[in-house]
Amino acid sequence: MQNPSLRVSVSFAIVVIGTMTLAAQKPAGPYYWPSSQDRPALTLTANSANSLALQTGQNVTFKLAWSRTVPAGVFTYQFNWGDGTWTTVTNTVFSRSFSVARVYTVEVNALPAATAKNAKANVYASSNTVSIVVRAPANVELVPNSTSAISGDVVHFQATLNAPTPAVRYVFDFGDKTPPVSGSSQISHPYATVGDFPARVTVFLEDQSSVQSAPVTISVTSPVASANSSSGNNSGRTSQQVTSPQLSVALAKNVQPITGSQIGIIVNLTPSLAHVHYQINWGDGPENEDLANSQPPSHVYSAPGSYTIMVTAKRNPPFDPPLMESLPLTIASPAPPRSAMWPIVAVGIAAAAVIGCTLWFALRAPDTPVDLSPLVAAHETNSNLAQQKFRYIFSEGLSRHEIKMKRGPESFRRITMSSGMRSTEHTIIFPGETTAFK
Amino acid sequence: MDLEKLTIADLFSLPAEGPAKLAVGLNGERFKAIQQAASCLPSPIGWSEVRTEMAGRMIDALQTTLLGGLVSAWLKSKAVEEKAKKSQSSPETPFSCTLLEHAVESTLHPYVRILLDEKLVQQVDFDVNMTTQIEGLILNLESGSIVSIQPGRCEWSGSIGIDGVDLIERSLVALDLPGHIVFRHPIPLSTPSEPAAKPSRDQARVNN
Repeated sequence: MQNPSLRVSVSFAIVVIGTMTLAAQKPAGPYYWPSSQDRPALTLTANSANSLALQTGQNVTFKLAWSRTVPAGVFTYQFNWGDGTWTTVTNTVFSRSFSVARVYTVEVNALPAATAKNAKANVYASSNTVSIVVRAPANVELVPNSTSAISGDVVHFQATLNAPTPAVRYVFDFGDKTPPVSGSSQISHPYATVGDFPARVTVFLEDQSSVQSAPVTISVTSPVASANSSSGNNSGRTSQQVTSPQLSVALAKNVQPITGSQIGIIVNLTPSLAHVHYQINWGDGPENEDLANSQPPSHVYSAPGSYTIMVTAKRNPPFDPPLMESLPLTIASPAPPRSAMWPIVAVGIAAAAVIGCTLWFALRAPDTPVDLSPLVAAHETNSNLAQQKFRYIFSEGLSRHEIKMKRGPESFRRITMSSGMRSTEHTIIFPGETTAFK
Repeated sequence: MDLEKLTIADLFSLPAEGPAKLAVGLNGERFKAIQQAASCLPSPIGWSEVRTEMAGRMIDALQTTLLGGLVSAWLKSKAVEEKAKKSQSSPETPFSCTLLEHAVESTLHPYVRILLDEKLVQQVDFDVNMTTQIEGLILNLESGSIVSIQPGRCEWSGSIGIDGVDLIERSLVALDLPGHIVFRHPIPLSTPSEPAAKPSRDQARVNN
């Protein structure tokens, strides 16, 4: 006969095992926590992509998707924005914008919701990473040298672009029904008719986008009205003064456009007017230099490159629209000093035989062809020269060549140098990795 | 800054006309053979002139673009390699590939050969080490070529040395690159000749 208590225990065990079996077969539900091998994967996308480039203030929608159905309310989602900030949400869709331009590496952690039971780990699953490149929006500002002009006057415009992408071209619409003009960031335009004209510039960028400036209104009046208006104000302006004077800028004579050299310019105003105030921007800095007492103007550039010298002439009184004139200029590096030169090329015995002396070159570029005929001719016509040391210097563009000569039927030897690359190795390393160079 | 044209010599800002700082670091004691050759010329040449010319020739060897090296490194990422293959097999479909924060470490070994009357006097081997830190990067691919990139912040440092002695060193400087660089000449991606490095944990995450 069986022990009743044992029968009860066996029955209880069957019930418990049966319950456990049922629990194991239970489909995914609110409190179903599969083992780590069986967990569903969490995928994050931003606007349906795994990488995105956008501008500050632009909205982006992040979507989370599980590889298997996961009941709602089981998880909260912690968005790690990659800049040290976090946002916790309960929905699988979240939209936001970014106010700071930078690259955001976004990752989402799924955490058990506060109500979830059996939660054994803080982070249940982590999503893939989505990169968001956030850029400041491009903008362009159009600034005229004057917003008022007399018909026939030339107005100078300066477009200032602030964009992460270089400009391909600037298209100016002067608002006076003349065709748009394509050009660089600076342009001049004569206004022939009277009226208020909204001028604007559209800049086409390398990434095939474009940005347009806010319109700036240029008010153009007739010369007669302007003169009447001026005389009405007792400014003493006559109709002769309505004629626009011409400002010109040119490089001074004997200027060497190289770094470290004084670059002088000649500023000329035709017809000559009294009470003219000049300002100059040399193009290598933001400052305008006052030239009232420093004519003739000059400047020293410290770095080679292309610059635009901008001269502004203001007539005061009466205050008329300032005149502006620009002068593009290319500054080169000076030829290397003598100490930096080294005689790479020595001349052969044949040349020595012709002129009867030792000859060697100090050439900046070994491949530069050198015309020796003037030198040889000088030797042949002046026997004294052949008995002495002397130096022959000539220039080609900005390169300075120097030939030294001295007596002596010495033979010539030549040193040359060549360069190349033995090997290169480029290795990509992600944070946390270490590598050794080969 | 034109990334397509930017050379390693540009990065070190050593114009061929006068790499004075590099030349100063070249110690004549290491190059006695060259000094001897220079001094035996009918018109002897001083060491300072020799070393300046050597430095100039070495800089000539560094007229190689930075971008070429970066692309070579990017190709070692499994993510890029896979996207490159997909792009090659689907030339009509644009692909983008994101690389998280990473560094590209480059070593270059330029050399200068000094010859006296066509006879080699000495070969001087230089070591150039560079590190380019890139905060993040999106490569846009078409037909198996990189057509544009959207780089995050880039920083660069490097040094030039001989036998472990640094002649010139450039500390970390930011490369002022535009946010979206469209290449005038797309850069074809070919499978690297050597086996790709084992993907790191971060790369594996990129590949997700």
